[in-house]
Order: sequence, then C-alpha cells, then structure tokens
Amino acid sequence: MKMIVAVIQPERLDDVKEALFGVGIQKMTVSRVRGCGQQGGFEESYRGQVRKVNLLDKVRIEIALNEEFVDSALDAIIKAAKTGTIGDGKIFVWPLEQCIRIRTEEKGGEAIG
Amino acid sequence: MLKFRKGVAFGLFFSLLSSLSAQEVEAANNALASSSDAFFILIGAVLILSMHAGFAFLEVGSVRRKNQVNALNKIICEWGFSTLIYFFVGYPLARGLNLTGSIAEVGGANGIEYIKFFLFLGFAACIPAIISGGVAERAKFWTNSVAGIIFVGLVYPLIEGFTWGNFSDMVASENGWLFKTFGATFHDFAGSAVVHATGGWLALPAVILLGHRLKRYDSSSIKVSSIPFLALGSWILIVGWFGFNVMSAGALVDIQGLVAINSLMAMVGGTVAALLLSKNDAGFVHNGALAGLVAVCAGSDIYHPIGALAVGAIAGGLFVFSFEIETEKMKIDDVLGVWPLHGLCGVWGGIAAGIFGQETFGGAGGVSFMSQLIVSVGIAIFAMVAGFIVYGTLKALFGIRLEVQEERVGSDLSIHHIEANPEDAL
Repeated sequence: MKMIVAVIQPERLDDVKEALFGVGIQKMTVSRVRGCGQQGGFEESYRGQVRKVNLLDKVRIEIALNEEFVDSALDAIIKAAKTGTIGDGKIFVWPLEQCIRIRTEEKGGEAIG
Repeated sequence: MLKFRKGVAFGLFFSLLSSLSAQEVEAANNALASSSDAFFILIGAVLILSMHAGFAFLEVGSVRRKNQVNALNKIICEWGFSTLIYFFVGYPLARGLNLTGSIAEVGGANGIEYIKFFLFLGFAACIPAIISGGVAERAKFWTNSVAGIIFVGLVYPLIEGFTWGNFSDMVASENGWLFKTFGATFHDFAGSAVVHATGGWLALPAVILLGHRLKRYDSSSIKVSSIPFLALGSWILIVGWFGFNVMSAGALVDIQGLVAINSLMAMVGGTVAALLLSKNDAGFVHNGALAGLVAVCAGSDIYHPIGALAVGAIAGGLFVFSFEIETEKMKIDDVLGVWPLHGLCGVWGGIAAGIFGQETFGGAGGVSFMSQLIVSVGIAIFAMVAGFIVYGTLKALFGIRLEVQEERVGSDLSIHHIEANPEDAL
C-alpha cells in the first residue's frame, strides 16, 4: 500500500480529477493549502504600503492506493497537472502502514479498494 | 404642539400671500417650480449614480475572486473618465451646452443646467459600465479605459444627439422624416435603445475581439465568486432604475406614476419569466429582473401596466435563451451577458414601444412600429460598427488583452497588486 500526496496548481485540479477517474481511481481527499517553493512570492500594496506574500495557493491531493495502481495514478497526475512552468507542484509517495474502513472494519488492501 | 406651530406657519404664509401682488405670487410660484425641478432631477441623478454601485457589485459577484478588485476599480475609474470627457466634449456635442461658461451664464434657475448634466452623465457613463461586464477578467485596464472615453466622448453623444438632443430633427421632430413617413417620431422615454442597446452592441465586438477567458471552454466551466454580491448588485440596479426611468420625465410637473408602476411590472415580469425558464437559477433570476427593466425604459410612459408586464416577461425569456446561445453555442465569452441583457433586450425595448405602446394593447398610442424598428436597429448597427472600429484599432496598435500569465494570476494582483481579501494572503 502506498500513500500519494500531490501538491498542484489549483486550476489544474479539475483536469487531475478527471484523469484519475479515467484510470479508475475514485477515492481521494483534497484540501486547499498554501506553500512556497521555487515559484517565489509576490508583493502586495495597499495605500502605498508594500508587503511580501510568500505563500501561494495550492491544492493538495491525498490518495491511498494498492501497489498496482500507483504507476497509473502518478502518470495521470503528471499528465494533467503539468504545464511546464515553475509552480506546477510536486508528488510525494510513501509506504502506507495500515488502512481501515470504519464502516466494515476491513483492513489493508481490501479497505482501500 | 407641532400641529399648533404648523397652523401658525401656514396662517402666516397665507396672510403673507394674500398681501402680495399678483406679480410677487407669480415670482414665488416660479421659484418653487424651478427649485422643485432642480431637486427632482438631482434625486434622479443620484439614483442613477447609485446604479453604478450596482454595476460594480454585479460584476464583483460574477467574476472569480482573483478579479474582484479589478471590477470595482474599473467601475469607479470609468465613472471618473466619463465625467471628464462628457463634461468637456460629449455633452456640448449632444446637447449644445458648454458647461465651461461662467457660473453667472450657466448657473441660473437653481443651477438646473448643472444638475441636468449630472443626470445625463449618469446615462452616458452606463456605456463603459455595461461593456465592463462583458470584457471582465481579461481586458487591459488602459486600453479598455481609452475605448470607454471614445464611446462617452463621441459615439454615445452622436446617438444621444440624434435621438434626444442637438440634432434630433430627423427622428424626433414632427417635421422630420420619420414622422412624415410613418406618422410618429421615434419614442425612447428612458433609453432602452439609446443607452442600453448602445452599450450592449458596443460590448459585443469588444468581447469577440478579446476572445474567451483562459480555460473558459475546458471540461469544467469557470465559476462565479459570490452569489450574494451578484444579487446585491442586481438589487442596487433595480432600486436606482426607478430614478433612471421616472426622473427621465425631466420636470416635476411631468412626473408619471405610470412610469413607476410599468417599471415595477416589467421588472417582475422579467424575474418570473427567468425563474420559470431557468428552473430557479440564481444568476438568471437576478438578471431577469434587469432584462425587464432594460426593455421597459423606452415605452414606460405609454404602456398599460399589463403591457409592461408582457414586455418585461418577454425580455426575461429573451435573456435566458440568448445568453445560452451566445455563450454556449456561439462560444462568445460574454462574462455577465451584457450583449443579451443590454443589447438584445434594449433593442427589444425600442421595438416593444411600437407594439405594446399602441392603443390596441392598451397603450397611450402615438408611436409607430416602423419608426421604433428602424431607429432601434439602426442604433444597434451603428454601435456595433463603432465598437469594431475602436476595439479593432486598439487591438492592432496596443493590444487589448492581458498577458497569459497576468490573466492566470488574476487582474487583481497583476494590475492592482492586491487581492480582494488581503487577510487571506500568508
């Protein structure tokens, strides 16, 4: 079992969702987040006062997957989120120790699918 | 106590009157008439001014969060540009009155000429405010402002002068060609065709030449940011509209309750028609009310209230249908739907005065269908051509659209360097 966490541009979310649905991945958790990276920030000014804004809007997608789905999920996310410009985001993959479906108390790979 | 004081005051007033000569009474009456007119028109002008707050919030709610500040700044700045150009160029052209003359020369009769300018400016400034909603989220601030200045300084004053003002002999005089040919002059009481159709048909070429917003026609459509702001804008416009229509009478003695109730009925007709056709869609319902009001302006002084209801209802339906066709079938990304709302419903209003204004439909009569049709359509064509020329030239010379990256980041940050809710930024 693997956990995929992808941080992407907010406006790519619709395409990424479609791409994931397209390869049979229907379950995910999505949150609005702010972060900084290579893209850098920007300056805001109000009545002449300038302020540096470092953290930019991003969307974080968390998906728990059985091994056989990992590669197709990664391909789908990359294909849909990539614009080729700085700020497209990153994907992190790490091993997942346990997964429990609360309703049925199923555990492991059964609970994910 | 209050009653007693009032009684004393009235007593004094009448005893004073009775001791006045006929000449003095007449002078007092004239003073009352001229100050009442000034006050009447001022209230109209202020109500129309308030409509610009409505334009602003209708746009704020209908764009994405990253373009809200731009909508607000655009509307107030364009009001400023419109005032300047209309004061120095547009108004003298349309009405033949130069307000730069000395106060002694222009400011007589309670300064009514100044107030009239304020009122007519409110109409003229609707032109860029209407266009603003169509070109939202992607137009360059300065080229769009320049286009607005040309429209308020030259294009609109030509239409205004031709129909209401300085050189309206041909269409508005009984010696004119229209009257001689079709038996009635062109009738546009409060500007369905003169103001709204002009704005809407100027906006159409702007929207086409700009092209659609990035990702507008991708798998999932672009959302609006705030239904409450959109509805607030619509309500402010609705309230102000009663100044736009009723105060178009121009003098207190000419005030007509009929205009008020007809405006009301058309607004309601537009709302209900949009409600039924759109299955209770918030955007359509709130714009349906405006569609009814756009359409009723022209004949609001001659319709029977039930006729006004029909005119408004047809406009509400027309808006829902034509907005869908324009933005979905023809893929013209008119953000607020200003061409269907002001352009089509405006022309419909001009023509409707020639139908529902007739005595057959309970109207007051004195209008000709052909006169209404010719001038309303003529205004639309003239405005569309002018829009293509102005925006086409600006596009060729300077470009009218934001850079891709600027549009992606949003016009708030790329033009105004601030988000609508700065506290959200970390």
